[in-house]
Amino acid sequence: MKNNKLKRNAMPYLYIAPTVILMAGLLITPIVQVIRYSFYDNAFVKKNPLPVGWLNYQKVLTDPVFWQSVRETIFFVIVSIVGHIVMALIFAHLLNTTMFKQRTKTVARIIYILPWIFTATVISVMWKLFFQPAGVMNYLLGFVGLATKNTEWFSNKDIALYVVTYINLWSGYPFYMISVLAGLQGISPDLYESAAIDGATSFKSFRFITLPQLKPILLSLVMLDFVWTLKTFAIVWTLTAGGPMHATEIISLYIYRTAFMENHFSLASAAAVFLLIVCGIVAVFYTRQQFKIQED
Amino acid sequence: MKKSVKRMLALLLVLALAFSMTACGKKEEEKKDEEITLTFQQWFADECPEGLFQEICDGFTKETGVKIELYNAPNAETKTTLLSGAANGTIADIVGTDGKWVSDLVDGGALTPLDDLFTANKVDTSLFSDMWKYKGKTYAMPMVTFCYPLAVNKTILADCGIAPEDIKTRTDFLNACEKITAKGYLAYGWNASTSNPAGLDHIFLNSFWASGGKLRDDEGMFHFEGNEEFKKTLDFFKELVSKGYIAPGYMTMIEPDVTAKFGSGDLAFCNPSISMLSIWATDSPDLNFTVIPMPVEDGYTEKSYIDYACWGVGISENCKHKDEAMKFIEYMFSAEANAKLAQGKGCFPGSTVSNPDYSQQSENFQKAFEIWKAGIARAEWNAAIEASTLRTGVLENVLKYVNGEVDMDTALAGCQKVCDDVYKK
Repeated sequence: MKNNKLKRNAMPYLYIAPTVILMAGLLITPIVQVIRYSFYDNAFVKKNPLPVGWLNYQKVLTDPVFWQSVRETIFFVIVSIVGHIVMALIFAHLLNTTMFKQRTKTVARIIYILPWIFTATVISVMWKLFFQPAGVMNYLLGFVGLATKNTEWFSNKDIALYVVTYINLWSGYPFYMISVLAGLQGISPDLYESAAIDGATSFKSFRFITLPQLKPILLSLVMLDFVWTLKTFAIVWTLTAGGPMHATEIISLYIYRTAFMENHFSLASAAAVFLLIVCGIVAVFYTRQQFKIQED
Repeated sequence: MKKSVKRMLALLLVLALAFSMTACGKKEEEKKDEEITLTFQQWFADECPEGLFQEICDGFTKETGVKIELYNAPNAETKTTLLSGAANGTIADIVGTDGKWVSDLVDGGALTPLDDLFTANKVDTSLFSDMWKYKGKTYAMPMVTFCYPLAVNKTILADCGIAPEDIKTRTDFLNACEKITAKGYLAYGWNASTSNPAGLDHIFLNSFWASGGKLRDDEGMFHFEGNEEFKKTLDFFKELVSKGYIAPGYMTMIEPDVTAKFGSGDLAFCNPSISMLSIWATDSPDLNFTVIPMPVEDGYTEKSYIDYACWGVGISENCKHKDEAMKFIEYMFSAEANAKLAQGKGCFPGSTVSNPDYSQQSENFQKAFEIWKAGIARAEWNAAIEASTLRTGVLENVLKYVNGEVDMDTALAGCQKVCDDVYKK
């Protein structure tokens, strides 16, 4: 009798045990390790690293390249999020409109989603060829006298970050577009009909119906985009590797360079802990937002 | 005790002794027959023609019975693999290393000092063309080397009325670049991306060393401030940049970007690794090019120092069969094995007794070998502390100066500070 009760009580824990073990092994252990490394003198590459307290954090916080990297990351993330959401709203509306035939919309949907299908390497190679000094961009701009075959895009540290951010915008918007499109299709047409009867303009319908209805989706997308863009690595690395002169070295690249190019794993761990804290805060907001949606 | 019992006990004792001695003997025999396998972590096998490196290692097994198990990883991953392996005790017995990694690997407990092993195994150290020392001890040696001569597109030069052999000094080079750019061609490729500071070594410092430049003193300390040849090289590159002689995009270019441009016939000059010479010969058959020595400072008449990259080898601290590992290294520097590797891969020998036959190699490769033999090898980052940090820091300061962002004194002080900060730690 007692045994049966024990078994019944233990059953839920047994069900979740594989997930818990996997999470502990693959997620929590590495996080704890990174935090631990950040308090040691070059852990991972020394056999017997010594604890150094907050020294690595102090070094990271006094490194001008770290702060340059933070500023570039803030620009990269904010512009990417705003751009993704704006592009998603525009393209999703185009795909949701009744002005085009279904076949046209299907073709447009395939074209719009293409950037999301390509891998980071393909995107990088394509845009590198496009923006290289002897590339298509300079050729086209050359017709209006805005560029020559020597105009540099990725190598010019004044504009490299803008170019990289633009490419990130281009490569990421389809996911947000599809999500917004799903949200738009879930809004009852009755709301728009009632608004039209009341004499609402298209802009007012958008402002007072579409946006409030999309708000939960948009909030979730903003938070997801924040975390994903903050972690962006492959595209920027393959386009510029953080150069020229750290001009596109967003925080993920700063961490990678410090760890794997310079073998300062403890310093990189300290920088990674900052990233972890920021992502953690956003994750908390995201989870609360999801609970709120479920409650509503 | 009865006499018979005593006898019995004595007999038992003798038997026990005899048995234990037999057992010991058997153990000794077993130990002798125990098969030794040495693991070798490197990136060489993947970069050699298929099967070549394993075949050379198998030659050692045939001679000694000691097996060599190759652990292959790309060059970019090998250093981290070695460092993490040293920290957690899983490092291979023999390790392939770049000269620039030596200090990091020693500080990470990855490499063992070799001097005592040389003595114990009676290794003739004159076999080694170079020995990388850190804090007074030898840790690794370059097995084969790759130099970076100046590759010249003969078609472009002919169109501009320039003969490659006439480019001997920096002034000759600047004049050639002027004619080339005036005709609308791209002159010189420089991969100056700070993500991989190879462009500092193989292009900027290659030019600096060619004119007799020296960064380190006898104690191994770096000197930039007051280094006249370094100043001249900075000015030379500033002129190349300001006059548009360096192909655009150089700030984010990596080595393959430059060699691809040269391979497609878009560039007049670049500094490729000699391994590119055979690649161009097959991949770009229409490319009409030759190799010449790096142009030197006007008036410099001494022998040129030549920059090189290499495949080095050392023994890990964890290795349980260090004597056998040392024998393997000695074998890799033997005339036959070293020449076979240099010939097969298309690079230069790291052994002083090796005499590879390059008759099957291209004419350009043979010219590069002549250039190599006429000069003196120099790569001053080998065994430097935190070489990667130093190279990146120095390149950043060089770029600031050549792009006109800082003056000469600030650039030199910047380079000096990068090195002093690391060496004073």
